[in-house]
Order: sequence, then C-alpha cells, then structure tokens
Amino acid sequence: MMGDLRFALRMLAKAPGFAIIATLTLALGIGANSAIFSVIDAVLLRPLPFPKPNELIAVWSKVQGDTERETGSFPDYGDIRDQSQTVESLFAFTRASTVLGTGSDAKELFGTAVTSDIFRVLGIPPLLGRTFTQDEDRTGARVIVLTYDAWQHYFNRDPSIIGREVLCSLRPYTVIGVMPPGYRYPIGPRCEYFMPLQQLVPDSVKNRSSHFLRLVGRLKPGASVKQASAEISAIGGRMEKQFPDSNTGRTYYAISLHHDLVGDVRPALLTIVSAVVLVLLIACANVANLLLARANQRRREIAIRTALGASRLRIVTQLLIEGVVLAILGACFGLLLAWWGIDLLRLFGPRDVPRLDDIQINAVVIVIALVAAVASTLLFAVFPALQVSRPNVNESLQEGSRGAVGPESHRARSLLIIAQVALSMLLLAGAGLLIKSFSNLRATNPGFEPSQVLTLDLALPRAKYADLPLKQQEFFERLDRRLRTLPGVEAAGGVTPLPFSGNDRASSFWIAGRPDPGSGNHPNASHLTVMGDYFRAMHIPLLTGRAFDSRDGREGMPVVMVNEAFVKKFFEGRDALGQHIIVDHAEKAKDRPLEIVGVVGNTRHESLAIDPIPEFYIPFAQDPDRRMYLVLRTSSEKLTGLENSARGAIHEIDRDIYVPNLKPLEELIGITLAQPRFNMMLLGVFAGVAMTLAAIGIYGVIAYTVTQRTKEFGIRMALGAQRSDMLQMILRQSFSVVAIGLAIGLLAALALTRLMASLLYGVSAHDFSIYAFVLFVLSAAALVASYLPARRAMKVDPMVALRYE
Amino acid sequence: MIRLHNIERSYPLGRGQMFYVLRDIDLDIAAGDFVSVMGPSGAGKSTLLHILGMHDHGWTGEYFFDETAVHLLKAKERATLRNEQVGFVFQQYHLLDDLTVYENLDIPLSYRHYSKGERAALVADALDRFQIVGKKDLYPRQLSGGQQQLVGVARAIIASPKLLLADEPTGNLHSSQGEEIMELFRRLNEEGVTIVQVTHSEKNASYGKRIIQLRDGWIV
Ligand SMILES: Nc1ncnc2c1ncn2[C@@H]1O[C@H](COP(=O)(O)OP(=O)(O)OP(=O)(O)O)[C@@H](O)[C@H]1O
Ligand SMILES: [Mg+2]
Repeated sequence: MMGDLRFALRMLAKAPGFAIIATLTLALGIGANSAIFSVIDAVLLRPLPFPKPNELIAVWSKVQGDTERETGSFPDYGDIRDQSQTVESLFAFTRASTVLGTGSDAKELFGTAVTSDIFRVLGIPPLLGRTFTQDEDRTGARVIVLTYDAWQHYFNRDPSIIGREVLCSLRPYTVIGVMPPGYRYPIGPRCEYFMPLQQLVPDSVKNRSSHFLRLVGRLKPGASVKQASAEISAIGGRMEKQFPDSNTGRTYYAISLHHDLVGDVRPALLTIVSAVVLVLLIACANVANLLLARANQRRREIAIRTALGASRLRIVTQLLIEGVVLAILGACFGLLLAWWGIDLLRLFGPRDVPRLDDIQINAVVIVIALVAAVASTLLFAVFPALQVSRPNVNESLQEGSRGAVGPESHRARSLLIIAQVALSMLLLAGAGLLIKSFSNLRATNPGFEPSQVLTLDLALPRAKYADLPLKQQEFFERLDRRLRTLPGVEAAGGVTPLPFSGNDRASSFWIAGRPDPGSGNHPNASHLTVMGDYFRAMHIPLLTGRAFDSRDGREGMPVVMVNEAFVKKFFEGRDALGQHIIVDHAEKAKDRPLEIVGVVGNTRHESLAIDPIPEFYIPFAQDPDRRMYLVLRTSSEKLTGLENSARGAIHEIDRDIYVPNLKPLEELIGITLAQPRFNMMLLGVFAGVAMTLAAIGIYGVIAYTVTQRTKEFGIRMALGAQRSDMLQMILRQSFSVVAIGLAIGLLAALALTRLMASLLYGVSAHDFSIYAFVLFVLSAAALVASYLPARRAMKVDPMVALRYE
Repeated sequence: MIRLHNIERSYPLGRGQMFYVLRDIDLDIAAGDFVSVMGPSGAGKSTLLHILGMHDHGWTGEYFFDETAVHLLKAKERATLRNEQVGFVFQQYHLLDDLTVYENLDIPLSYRHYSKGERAALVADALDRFQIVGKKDLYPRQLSGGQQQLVGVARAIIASPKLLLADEPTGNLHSSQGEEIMELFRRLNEEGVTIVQVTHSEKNASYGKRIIQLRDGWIV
C-alpha cells in the first residue's frame, strides 16, 4: 500500500503537466461545490439558532385573490394567541427604526417592535438584565432590550447600561436588558433592539383592519405544524364570521418557521446547486479523460505487471490510489478556492438571502468537500482503471507494441466528451435564460425616470409630531417650499410610500354610486400620499385631468388621482374623471367621497418584475403623515453640496430631526435587482467554467488522438491527402461527437430549464434565440478546442511519420 | 520521364555541421522503365524514393517530371502532380488498421476528383483484379502479410499512376509471396507503368530492367 502510494506520487511527479491540470480541474469543481454548499448549509440546512427550532412556526393570513403571505392585525393576533390549544406562545412584530440620541451624534437604529411573547417563543434568556413582560406590553412602558451587537457597537459593552435611560426618537427609554450574541429577530435584516409594540402604534393595534404584523409562535410539545395550521384556520374562520367588516375573505394558516425563512430563496439556491454539481461532473469527466489517455500510454506497463502476476484488483487499486492522491490535492486547493469564493459570495450576495453572513467553512463543508473528492475519484478514476486493467495480457502487449488504441477506450473518450458538452449546454442555456431575464428586468420601464432623482426618507419624531397632523403638514409644506429653491434642484416633491423603498400600503375603498357589498368586500388598491411636484419630479406623465395644486388644501374639496391600471380595473378603461371613491380608512377623508381629478401613468412599486397595480394618490394636505419620502430631481448627478443644503433646510425648521443620507432612486431599484443579478452572475460563472472545462476536455482528447494517429496521417498524406483534408477529417470527427452532446444537452435543457421558470422574467424557458445563441457559442468553443490541436495533424511530416516503426 | 540533376539531401547534425544522405545525384528514368535501387542499409535508398515520390522537399538540385520542373513547384502544385502521377507501396504495408480492405482501397480515390460511382467502380475493379473480392470487408489484421501487401499494391495503383514507387515491397514476406508481388509488378510494367523499387534481394532486382547501386549517398 505504501509502495503503491510512493509509486503513485512518482508517476504524478513524472507528469507534472498532467498532475497540475488534473488538480486544478478538480479544485475548480470541488471549490465551487464547497462554496455553494456552505451557502446551502448556512441558509437552508443549519437549524435556526434557537432551542427546539422545529417547534417554531410562522403564522400568515391569506386573502382571497391576493398573495399567499399577508400580515395580520393585532386583534386577530390576540384571538389566535388566546384561543389556540396547539400553540404554546405566539408573538407579533413589525420592523421598526428609531433615532438614538439627538443632535450631531444621533444614530439611526433598526430593530423590532414586538410583543413580549417573543422571549418565551424564541426561548433564550438575556445576557444582562431582563426582558419585558406582558404587563409592560399592556401599559406601554418605555423600555428597550438591546442586541449584543448594538450593546457592543453603541455602548462599548458597558454593563452599567442596564437601568440607564436613553433617548429614542426624542423619548426617554430605559434599557432593561442585553441579549446574548447571535440573538436577533427577524433573522435576515439588521436588528439592534426590541421594543414593546403596543406603545409605538397605540391606534393601529386596536384596529382589526390594520394588517401590519407578522406572527411567529412555538408549538406545544407534540403538536404538529399541520394540526396548528388547521386549528388556526378554524379560528380564522370564526373571526371571519364574527368580524365580516374586517375579515371577509381573510384566513390564517401556519407553516414551519424554517420553511418560511428559506422558501423564497429555495428555487434559486437549488438551481445554483444543480449548476455547481454539473460543474463538478464536467471536471470529473475531464480528469477521467486525462487519466484514460495516460492509462493507455501505460498499457504496456500494466500488461507487464499482469504478466508478472499482479491481480486485476492490485492493478485497479494502484490506479485508484493515483486517483485518490489527485482527489485529495484537488480537495485541498478546492477548499482554498472556496474560502476565497465565500468572501465573494458574502460581498455580492443579495441582502434578502437570510443568514448570508453566517456562511463559513465549517466541519460540514469540509466533509462535503471530501465526499465530493471521493465521489469524484470513483467517477473519474474507476472507469479508466477498469478499462485498462482488462486481463488480456497477450492482446494488450501486442496492441501496445503496435501503438494502437482499443476501440473501447476511444468510445469511452467520446462518451465523456458527449457528457461534458451536454452538461455545458444545459448550464449555458440556464445562464442564458437568466441573463436575458436580467436584461429584460433592467430594461423594464418603472413608469418614471429614476436617473438624477435623489430621495430622502424623513420620519418626524413621534415625540413631537404624533397625532398632530397640522404640525406635520406645516413642517413638510415649509420644507417643500425650501427644497424646490435649492440650487441644482429642478423639481421637488414627496410621497409615501416611495416606489422601491420596500414599503407599500393598500387601502380598501368603494366607488360612490355603486351598490355597496359591505366593507369586508371592498376592493384594495395601493394608497399613496403625494406632496408638491411629485409627479413632475418623477417624470410620471399626467394622462388626463389635472395634477394636485394649491386648490387641494386642507379645506379644499376632497380629491384623488388614480393611475391607468386603476381606471382599467375599476372603470373598464372608461373615463373616470369626475367619479368619486370612498376610501375606508383614510383618516381625514373618512366617509367623504373623493373626486377623481386626474389620471397618471402606471408605475412599478415593489420590483421591476411585478406589473403595475391599481393605485390612487391623495394630496398630502388632505392626508398628512409623519413620514414622507422626499424626491428631488436634480440637474446633475453630484449630490454632496445638495445633501448639506437639504440637511440645513430641514434643521432650519426643526433642529431635532434626524436626517439620513440622500439615496439615488436608481440605487433603490438596484437593491431589488440584487437577487436576480446574483443568480445570473453565479450561473454565468459556472456556465463559463463548465464551457472552459469542456473545451479543455475536447482539446485534450483531440490533441491525444492526433499524437496517437500520427502514423495514420502520414499514410494518408503519402496516399494523396492534402493538409486541409486532414484538418477537415479531424474537425468532422470531433464535431460528430460534439453534435451528439449538443443534441442531448439541448433536449435536457428544454426539459429541465422549465424548473427555473420562477426565476425567469419576460423570457420563455424555451426561448429560441437563447438556445440558438448558446448552440452557436458552444459550437464555436468546440471548434476552437478541436482546431488548435488539429493543426498539429497538418504539420505531420509523412516522411517522419512513416519511419515510426 | 524523370530527370534528376545534382540532387542533394542533408540533415543538420548540430554545431553547424551537415550530414549528407544523398550527394550529387544525376539520374534519368525513361517512361516504361523498371528500375531496382540497391545498396546497404543507410545508403539513402528510401530517401531517394521519397524525393521521387515528392513526399520530401527538403532537397536541393533539379528534378524534372516529364516537362515539369518539380523543384520550382509550390507545395500544393507538387501535391497535385503527385496525386495525378505517383503511387507508393510501403515496406510495412501501412494499411489503416481501423478501415476495411475496401475502405483502404478507397482512400487514395477520396483525395482525388472522383465521383462516388467512379470510386465504387474502381475499387470493385481492383478487388477483382487482385482477386481479393472475398476479403473486402476484412480488417488488415485479419489478413496474412502477403495479402496485406497485395492490398498495399492495389491501393498504390488504384488511381492509375504512371509511376509506381515501392520501398522494399517484399521485405516482410515469404519468398513465394514475394514472387507473387514481383510478378504483379512485371505485369504492371508491361502495361506501361514506370516502376522504381528498392530491394535488397538480387532475385527481386532481376525482375527489373536495370539496377542502380547507392552507397553512402552516391550512385555507383
Ligand atoms: N530525419 C532524419 N534526420 C537525420 N538523419 C536521417 C533522417 N532520415 C534519414 N536519415 C539518415 O539518412 C540515412 C539514409 O536513410 P535511408 O532511410 O534513406 O536509408 P536506406 O538506404 O533506406 O536504409 P535501409 O536499407 O535500412 O532502409 C541514414 O543514415 C539515416 O540515419
Ligand atoms: Mg529504407
């Protein structure tokens, strides 16, 4: 055994070119797989970082004819929590942010507004101090629990922080606890603190129609997700009957929290995993081909060993040890590549992939790399070993002496090439589809012109502005007047919620003059509040009627503007001007019909991939808000000066307001493109690697064949073949093999790319132009890979070739 | 038909020295001639034959084939001329192992301007003439040495060359098989094919009309 190992090392050292190419090829395959599996491990496989994670569930509501995962209202949450027998505890939360401190060293913190049940559900005690209680929920105590990161980052891990008062959005809060490292919820986004929910939104939590909460719970021991879900939908059914105004058409259900967390990214990750496994297969095929060629050169050595009494098992073992040595070298370099690749993944990975920061090379990943190495050894080394260890000494010696190659070995190499080409075709088709999808997405018109628009997410502190609409209105109107005079600003306005900000808002309404089906059956539409020159700043076209102006003040006639999709859906595209709608919960406009005075073009809101939905716009003066996104259309891309003057303008009106940085609107759109861009990049890289490996494989086989067939070429030339005849012959033979691979790959791609339909946008999984292009690219690569070594056949000197005997 | 004047062939030996394989060769071969080239091993016989066969072009001097100055031709023109005029029989037969007898015979035709029908007809003719019709679907390794060389000869003349070059065509054969090949050559020569053969055997040489002796690259 040691002898075999030493011999294996000697053989590899004797052929360093072969050893390097084989090791690098394997390292590429194993490295890519290790990196991707570390992602899978962190994102999909590793249990949630809480005790008994299998007992955790997410509870969602579902509205007829709407998306699957809808948030719920606080009263609904209370009923489910109190009535359920299968759920031990359940918490409700929403994402929140606050400004810590005041003045120039104020910092914006992101956290979770949550009911106290979270600490029972997630089941990890605080590191310092205590967590808040149900009583504190109810009484609306101003207390805050920090995450470990926030404690470290903002308070330098000062243990005396417990019991101290801090200013959050200008209100004093008492720090009562610090959670241990790693404790955060929700798991993906930035989370720095927990605060009681009820005191933050005292009105919304009383409103059964205000659906803004996400619910997470822990099952009682022994209860299953299925049972819980059935029970919760029964409770939801009862609520629907009891509260038809708010709950008609709405049901609740539960799924496992883990599934909830990874469900969104699963199709993308599975596509990427398939891709990376294909890359490894191609790498193995390449190394198998290299080994096969080498084994053929060693036929004589092997035949002599056999003649001297080596059993077939010994011979196969000997060859496998060489394979294992290569595999282990490949695994080592592969892990190095993976280590480096993971940094890139963290850097380029989209933020909405949960737990991306937890990716690391741990024992699991190393085991996966070794398994991949061993599995690939079996794949790439066994086959050639069995091939050449055929126990026919006589024939092998004769064949060897004649320098001829058995037809089986030739067929084996062709099969490997076919497999490589087919797999590459599959990968390239997948990558092509994603690239086309991505460019479709990018080319999608959002309905406004995002370039040279800067946005500012401005929230007035609750402490000074809550429930004071007049004050809110005055602030923003003064600010609007100031902003439009700033140098470099062409048009200024405000909106809430801003497209591509990650926020949306829908309200139910009814159209005046039509028979009313009861408020539970009112349709929904996106509800936006706009201020100033919003439409002009965004370049959203006014189609008919007029835009809001000074007429539409607080005391003016209540008015509304709608988009084209709204007119199409609710007025069958006919003239909607002059019609009235009654919005159910618009605070100032309650029960007052709003006249439609203008129709604007459609805009996309959540992402470019989602078609425009019906929207209505209400003038800010008639529906003031504490939070507005200011939009500034600027005359140039430069924003440094502008940022300072905008900040100055805000502080001129109120020194206490925290002003975040200006963000280009294009950047916000870019964030929503991160996931498809990431998918495209990964698959693109893998497809590129696959094609390169396949090309190397073809090159290797043709180069080997050309040296093997030198004598034949000499004879053919002596019999009258021109150099071009020989080139044509080799290319024809190479292509007849490649063509089979292309055909199989094409069929496989047609069958399998359908599985990635959910990742595609504006392109069919069977898009002809992409398949044609991919066929062309791969054929071209195969042509080059065959042509380079085939040229050597043209250089064969018949004189020399014929002397070979 | 062939006129060689002052042909020299040399290989670099390193350190600027040259090794002369052929020196100052002057040779005339008339159409219809049957020449045997003899000489000790390493004398340059094969080299001379490959020059005649226009496989080699690293020589100096003048070579006229009929009225064509071969030494002035470009590679492509030389190849065309060779394809039209010359057939070659090798000592080691050099049949292609992966092709059947039929396919081996077809190779030279596939590199010349013949239609499919003509090729089939010519191959059928050759199989008939050499009485190997029964062997047409066999592979070279399934034939005896003599049979293989028979195919080699058939392949050399299938495109009706005017000049047949043979490098020790019977070198690996039993004498009886060798005689068969020699009889074949005689018949071809009688049909008008000019033949130049390399041989070590006096007996084979006697089938020819004249003998050229080569020694250390000189005709003696
Ligand atoms: N490519 C080459 N490089 C250097 N020397 C060569 C080369 N080819 C042939 N020679 C030399 O040329 C000489 C003549 O070779 P050639 O094959 O013509 O001899 P030959 O007369 O046919 O011998 P034999 O009877 O053994 O076949 C030999 O000494 C050989 O070593
Ligand atoms: Mg010779």
